[in-house]
Amino acid sequence: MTARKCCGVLLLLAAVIGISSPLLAQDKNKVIIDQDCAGPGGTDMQAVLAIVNSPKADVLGITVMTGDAWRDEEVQHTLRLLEIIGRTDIPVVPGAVFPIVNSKESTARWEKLYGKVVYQGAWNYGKPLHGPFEVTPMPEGTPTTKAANEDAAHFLIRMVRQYPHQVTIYAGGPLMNLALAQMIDPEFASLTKELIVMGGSIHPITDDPEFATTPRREFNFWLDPESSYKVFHSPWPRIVVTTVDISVKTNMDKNLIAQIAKSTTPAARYVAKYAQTGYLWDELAAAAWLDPSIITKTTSLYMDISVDHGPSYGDTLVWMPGSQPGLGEQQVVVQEDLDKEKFYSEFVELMTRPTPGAK
Amino acid sequence: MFRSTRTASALLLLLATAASVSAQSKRKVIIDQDARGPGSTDQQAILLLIQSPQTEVLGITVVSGDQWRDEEVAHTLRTLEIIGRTDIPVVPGAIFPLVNSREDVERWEKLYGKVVYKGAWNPGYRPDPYAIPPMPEGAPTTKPSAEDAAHFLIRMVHKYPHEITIYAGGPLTNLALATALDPEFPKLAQELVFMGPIINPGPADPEFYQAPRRGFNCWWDPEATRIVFRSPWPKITVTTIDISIKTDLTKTMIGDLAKSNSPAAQYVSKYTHGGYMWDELAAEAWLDPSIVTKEQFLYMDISLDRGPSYGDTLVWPAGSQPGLGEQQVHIIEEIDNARLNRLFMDLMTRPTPPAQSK
Repeated sequence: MTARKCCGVLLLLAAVIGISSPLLAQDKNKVIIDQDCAGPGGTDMQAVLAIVNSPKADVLGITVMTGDAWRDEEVQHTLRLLEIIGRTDIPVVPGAVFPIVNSKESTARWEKLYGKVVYQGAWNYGKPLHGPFEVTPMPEGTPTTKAANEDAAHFLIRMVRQYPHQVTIYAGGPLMNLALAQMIDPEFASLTKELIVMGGSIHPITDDPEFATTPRREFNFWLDPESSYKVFHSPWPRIVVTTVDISVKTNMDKNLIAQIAKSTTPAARYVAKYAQTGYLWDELAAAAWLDPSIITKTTSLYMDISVDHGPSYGDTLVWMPGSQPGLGEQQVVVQEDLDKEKFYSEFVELMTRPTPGAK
Repeated sequence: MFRSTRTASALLLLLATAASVSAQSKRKVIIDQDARGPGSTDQQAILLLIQSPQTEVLGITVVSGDQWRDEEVAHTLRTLEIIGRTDIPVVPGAIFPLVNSREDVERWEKLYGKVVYKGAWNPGYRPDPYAIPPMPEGAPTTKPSAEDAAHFLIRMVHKYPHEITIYAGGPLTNLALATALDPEFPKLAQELVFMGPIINPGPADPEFYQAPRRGFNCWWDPEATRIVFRSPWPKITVTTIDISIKTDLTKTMIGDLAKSNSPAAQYVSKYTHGGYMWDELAAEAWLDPSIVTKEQFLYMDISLDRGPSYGDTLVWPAGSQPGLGEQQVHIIEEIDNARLNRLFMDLMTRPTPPAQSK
């Protein structure tokens, strides 16, 4: 108990010191944020912010793919966010625009056989709906900075080769970029430190129409099932999964937004201005990577994604150890429960603290 | 004190109902069941439906599932002997599913992982579908009907059009065969009551943790389930596993049954496994709809895809279904457990109603 308290004080001190004199880069945890960056605000941008604002993280880059929105508009929103918080040193690297096999058209055909898919991200949720390469006017302003010239897959490979076994891949969107990197370099996954991923759905207890009748369908894994399959059949040293089951226990309510709105940091003002109430999907995955003690219960399961083109296409599959077919699927740590108060207070702290290294 | 008053009034109500219900106004039902025995949810559901003074059980059609058909037929005949209702025909149905097989399942498991519960296909269960093992409750001396289940079902709905409830507590092979032989069959029934689909049961039970959409009764013969789910029944009421696993036949209840001298209660107390009241809930909710405190309506179908979802339950809210013939079903969502348990005890401990004079 005393030792733990002591540890807590030390951590607090480290955090305080972190604000004035940043930790040395080699002491920080290297991370690449692989994210579908719908913006402004919202879960995607808030997860990016949580990691960038943490004094513990050394963000090597943000790799972007289509998901909640189309890639190009997401790249723009991400560039603008980094301008607002003064971190234009972090490269924004464009990744996949489309899934490997799945498409809007094949989904429409699938729905005729197997029923409606509630949430399809950029395919049915754009405000307004628009084409893949169109960038609609940005309420937060248009960025003047530019995206990296490199593509996401090559950037990911180059980084893990430069820092072997040191880079955490945080994945908050569909998994095309990671699948492409693994296809190009079969050693990619094994050269990372770990994969932290928000996605999948096992037994969510919720009336949400997105999950009530289809509890195994989760957007990030579903948009590109073949990529998800590839990622879950790759030799990562460790995989931690934040599923819908735990996401639906979280809620960004008005009170939480009001707490963030009290701060005058650029990040907090941005979050408060564009926040929407709802689940803290990606923020939980990010915050639990930064502080694993937020998670109070985990399970170890084998996980895969159905690539069958029938009614289960893109569904999450899990097995208890010993029941899995043994065709290369990996054992993953699934987060089951959390300390909500701790999560909310750390989330508010991450949104409101001064951005480390801001210029 | 309060409890005994309630029990007494429930008994009075049952007696009153028994007196007022004439043969013509009794609710006609055919029990289509994978009738594992002795004891078990299958036999207990059969008993509840026979013990109720509301019902006229026209017959019990038997299908392989929890056990093989022939041993199930023998256990059912013996149950009827024990309670003195050998007038009810026991009609043998399908031994095997239409398409699915033990060999197919073993191949499937190599691709998609282990199936926890496989009924008569469970590893170590007797491989000979026709063998009848020694029966702890004694071997029956009565014989099954010479008719097959599909023809019996068709004959009955034509004899009593729109009057018969088909209570299905096992795989749906018999109903699919009847529908294939006579497309009028489902329309001529009054309703279908079915125990077996599954939607989102939560993490509590390991059988459903990995496979939350796989309900044994739907999965054993997916093609038969598809035929039944896309048939024009006047009404379909479904008890899902989601709600089954919220029921419990407790040791206390079993102990109380042992104190009763009704043959049904004695049989159950001796052979029951206790636990989830799978088929009993479906039977009781039909007998007393006030057990159901919340219902939902969804369109339902079954996956015939040979991938990981083979035999899985599919559901859609109205407006989201593909519209390929799938039906809207009543789904029991919440129940009054105390009422469920009370009716179970009342029915099992009362004297078995005598055979109808025909």
